[in-house]
Amino acid sequence: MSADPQSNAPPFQAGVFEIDSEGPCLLGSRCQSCGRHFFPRAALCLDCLASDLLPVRLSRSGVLECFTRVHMPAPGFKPPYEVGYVTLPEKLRVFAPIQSDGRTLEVGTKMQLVPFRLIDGDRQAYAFAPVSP
Amino acid sequence: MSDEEAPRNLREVCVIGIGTSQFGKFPERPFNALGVEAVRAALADSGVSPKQIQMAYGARIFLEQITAQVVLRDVGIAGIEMINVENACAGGATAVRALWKDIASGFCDIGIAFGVESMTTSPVAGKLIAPSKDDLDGQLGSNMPVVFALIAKRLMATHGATAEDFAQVSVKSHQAAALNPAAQYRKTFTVEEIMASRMVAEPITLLECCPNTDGAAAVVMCSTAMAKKLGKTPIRFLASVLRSSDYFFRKQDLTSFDAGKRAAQDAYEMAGIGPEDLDVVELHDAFAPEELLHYEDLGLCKPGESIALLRSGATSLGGRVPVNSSGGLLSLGHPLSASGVRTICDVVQQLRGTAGPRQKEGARIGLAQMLGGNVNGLEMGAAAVHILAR
Repeated sequence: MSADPQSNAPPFQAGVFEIDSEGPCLLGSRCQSCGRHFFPRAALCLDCLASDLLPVRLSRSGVLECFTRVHMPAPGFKPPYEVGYVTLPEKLRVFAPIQSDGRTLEVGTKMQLVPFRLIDGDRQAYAFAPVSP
Repeated sequence: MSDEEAPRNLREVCVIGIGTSQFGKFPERPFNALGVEAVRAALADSGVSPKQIQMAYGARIFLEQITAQVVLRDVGIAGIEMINVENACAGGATAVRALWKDIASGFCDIGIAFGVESMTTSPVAGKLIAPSKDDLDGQLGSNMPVVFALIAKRLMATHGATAEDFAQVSVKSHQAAALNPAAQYRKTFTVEEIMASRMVAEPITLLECCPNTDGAAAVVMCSTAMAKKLGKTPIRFLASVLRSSDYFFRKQDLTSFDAGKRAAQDAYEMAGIGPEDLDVVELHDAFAPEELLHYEDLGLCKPGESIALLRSGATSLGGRVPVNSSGGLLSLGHPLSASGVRTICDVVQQLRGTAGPRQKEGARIGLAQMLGGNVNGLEMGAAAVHILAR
């Protein structure tokens, strides 16, 4: 599950994220009328209904709101696996796999995006891991 | 809707018949046999002939078409208007709500609403409900237990909830189910036993998850004027409310369902009562921690006090306002589309004073709540609240 921008493994879903030399980056939209951000990308501002949305790359780091360790299988995951909510500075609550790698996580822990592989079909995805001290 | 005055020319609607099938795992029983069992029981309870039924709503999520026609065919009801409803776990409550609107507005005088689900013969038999292909969170490892595990984690961080509290919800539900002959699981457990069951998604253990259940529930409803003509004692609807959820990006607090809260507030306003007037409550407890957030959304306690309310015993059998005195989804069982009708049947039973050893002494007003649906981008799917009185 190491960072591999050169990998030709397909993304688990098109148009949701990109991987560059800094790692994964989520693709969102910003409404130019009201300023609200959306993830994944939206064609219409679901808040003010304006249609002048700008495609943007969202912040790669955020703050952990909560996470859980899951002990049953799910498509793409071998239990136990961790998932949680991270809040980005754009005021977006993003659900994603979490890679604690044995480090203690708390509410408010600063997290950053890292590459992640879903085990079914070896598809590229993203996860949040605690920012290294 | 909440800013406007409720329409004043609506007729009062009531329940005159309730019926449920056996709840459990019956892969050998076709879905319509379950539906027929519940509908027959409700008709018998109402004393109404199938030929008097003017309108029917049938709720079901999985598989075949024309559920209402197929079930009602075998009880002698055909040819009338029938509408089939899907609204995730709130489907049954949605069927009741739709029939309430028809009778209240005068489109018909009497009808039947039912929900049926054969989980063991459905595509999700023995599995979790799978995410759809375009459901981002679902593709990244989310599912219903995960959603509620994350809520539970927030309850621990913001409310001081403990794993023991979540187990206690399940202990309470199993104590009620043990006294309910209709329940799927009639065994009691200790907090330690609940916590020692297999871990599903921390902190939720297997015995804190509702089981897959086959079953059906039905209600015969009519105008209160008609109930009097029929010589039946009506259990009256004081409120019927159905709301859909708002966008997830507007959700501030993971420990509250905005749609459930709005539905409850609108229902209290419509009924002209407050949560302090309730004697019994049946609610959506698919996972044990979930019950706690509904305490606050339904106003059974102040925000932040759900754990104290549970610990006080007020929501247990014999308490001030027993919650899920049926055993709830956790131990009575959860046939998805049937549950929203079944909760109403259980509230009616309490208001009639026929709940046996689970009876809340002198119960006069009860609330049945049901939520449904989980999809990316929205807080959830639908929230229904019905308030009934004798």
